[in-house]
Amino acid sequence: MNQQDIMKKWFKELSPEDPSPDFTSTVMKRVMSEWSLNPVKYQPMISKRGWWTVAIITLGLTSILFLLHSSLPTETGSLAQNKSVYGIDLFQLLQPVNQLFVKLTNISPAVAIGALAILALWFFDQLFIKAVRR
Amino acid sequence: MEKKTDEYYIREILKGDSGSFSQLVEKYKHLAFSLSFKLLSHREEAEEAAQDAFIKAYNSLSSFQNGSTFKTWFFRIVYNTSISKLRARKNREINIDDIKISDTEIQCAESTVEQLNKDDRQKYLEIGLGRLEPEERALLKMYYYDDFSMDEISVITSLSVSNVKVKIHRSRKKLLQELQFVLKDEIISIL
Repeated sequence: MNQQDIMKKWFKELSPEDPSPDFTSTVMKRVMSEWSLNPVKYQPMISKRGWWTVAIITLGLTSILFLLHSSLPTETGSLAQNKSVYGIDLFQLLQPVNQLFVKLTNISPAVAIGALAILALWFFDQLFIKAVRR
Repeated sequence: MEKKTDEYYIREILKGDSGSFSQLVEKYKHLAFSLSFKLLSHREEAEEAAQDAFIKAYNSLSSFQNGSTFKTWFFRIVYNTSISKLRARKNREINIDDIKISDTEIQCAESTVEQLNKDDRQKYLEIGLGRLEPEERALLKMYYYDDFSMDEISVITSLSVSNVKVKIHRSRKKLLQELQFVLKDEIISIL
């Protein structure tokens, strides 16, 4: 055995020095008091600004699609067949959108008013909660 | 139970789960206390220094870079915290360059210690270590007991690798010198 190995052997024979049994709990108490001074706040993945951006983009896209829907022919004809860009059939692509808006226009006024009322109720509820918190 | 890595717990802590820190405390408390104790030679002070090191590590966890291991990073904090406490105590300075021990004397001390039974060897080694400077004790402990490499010790102590090598070599020599002094009676009885 060389000198390094001998020394290693001697050191390994030393009994380990243990901290007091309440070491972990003392550290954790201090950690928790540190944490309570500066707790890590929940950070949503999408911020409020992000949600507003998504809402505006969605609204814009819906408006564009609505405008496109009004310009689309209702039947498959020669006009529809001509509306292709780079081989993509625009009529086929926008057909589901067209059908969606057709269905929306067929909704009865009572249902539409009801849906609007629910949305308005939710909006005013949020507004009220914010006012109370302030 | 599945054993998670240090990096996993660090991620959890940074996400806001402070409770995960207890896993790191449990894992490293013995090594941290042991290193601190070797530097400070005082149980209560060593425990306080180890606890302070854990709190410092918790508070600066966000600055931990995954390039180095958590163990090395944390032991650097333990070492610095203990050294600060030691400096605050204003211990006397001893120049370890003043070691004059020949190779024959080293071999003599080594063979004497080797001939002792395990319990006596433990006892005299503790006495010998107690006669060393705190830094010397800590370096020997990190290298021979905790199995840190020279590179890791260099990171922990902020010394260059060559300086660590020299210091460990000198500390080992000094320990053997101290052992020879302590065991003078034993050597005489053997001879």
